[in-house]
Amino acid sequence: MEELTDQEILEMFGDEQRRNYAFNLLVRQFQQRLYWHIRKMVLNHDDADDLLQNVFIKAYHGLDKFRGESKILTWMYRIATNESLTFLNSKKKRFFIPMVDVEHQLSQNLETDSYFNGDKIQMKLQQAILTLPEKQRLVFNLKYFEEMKYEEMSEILGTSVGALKASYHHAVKKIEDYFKQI
Amino acid sequence: MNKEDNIPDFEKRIPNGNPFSVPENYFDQFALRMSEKIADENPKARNPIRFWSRPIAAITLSSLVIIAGIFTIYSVNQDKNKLSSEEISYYVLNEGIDDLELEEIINYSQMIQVDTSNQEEKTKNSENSEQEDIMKYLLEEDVDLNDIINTL
Repeated sequence: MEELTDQEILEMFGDEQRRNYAFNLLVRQFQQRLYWHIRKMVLNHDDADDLLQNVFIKAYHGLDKFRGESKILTWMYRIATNESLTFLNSKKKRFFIPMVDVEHQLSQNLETDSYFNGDKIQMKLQQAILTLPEKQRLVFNLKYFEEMKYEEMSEILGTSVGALKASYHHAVKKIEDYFKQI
Repeated sequence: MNKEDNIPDFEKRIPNGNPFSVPENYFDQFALRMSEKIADENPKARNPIRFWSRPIAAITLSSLVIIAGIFTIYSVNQDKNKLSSEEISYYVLNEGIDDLELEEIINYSQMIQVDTSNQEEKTKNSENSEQEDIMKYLLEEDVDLNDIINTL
């Protein structure tokens, strides 16, 4: 599928006659990247699906006011990140359980998840990642799995490049220590 | 992995590939689902301006406004034209009118009452018949107003 530039998307979206078509192209262009970003955080497919829908609905309603200060994808990554963190926090608040137990619950659910086909080592990696604080987990996922540049990550998370590098370094260290224990 | 970072030791143990999967045709269907969702989110009926531009809605609203206006005008006129027995008595006793003026007042009062609706007239007539009787008595019996004042 030929990818449109941000300019082309915005121009088409601005035309009421072509808005829905532009939105359809936007979805097809960015859905996979955003889905995997969310899925790596919440782990469950159904939850990721719900959140991804929310992201695109917010994008649809917000694209009129988008000022182009960043790329559209960066902007949508930001929405997806906030949706994921809000979702995880709401799980904690709903059941009055600390975040540690939420992560433990996610880990347990992963073991019986029909949409997780990894072997024991991959399961261990996911469990190790779940021991990281949320933001560190985000940094690790974006860097390790999506190979995102620190500069782009900085725009999404609103954190300096230096802090992100340090965060990733610590994340890797913790995961290595986790693997040494098993 | 980016070349500027050292490859973590644990990565050597991790097999390649994505351990997470999605239902078949998920991404193809997701785009369609989103299109439908957006179409549902923009129902035309939600536009309030468009709603009121519909002929039926406009006629209904206009009718309600007209009915409310008629009712308001009717209520105001009723209050304006009503002469209570207290008002007549006050006028008779305090304004120093003579018999001719009294007759005019009675005639005026009767005229206004005739103009009202039949239902109102029936109600009014039952109240005012008593008033009329009083006024008639005053005229027919040639009652001196000063006698009335002295009595009070």
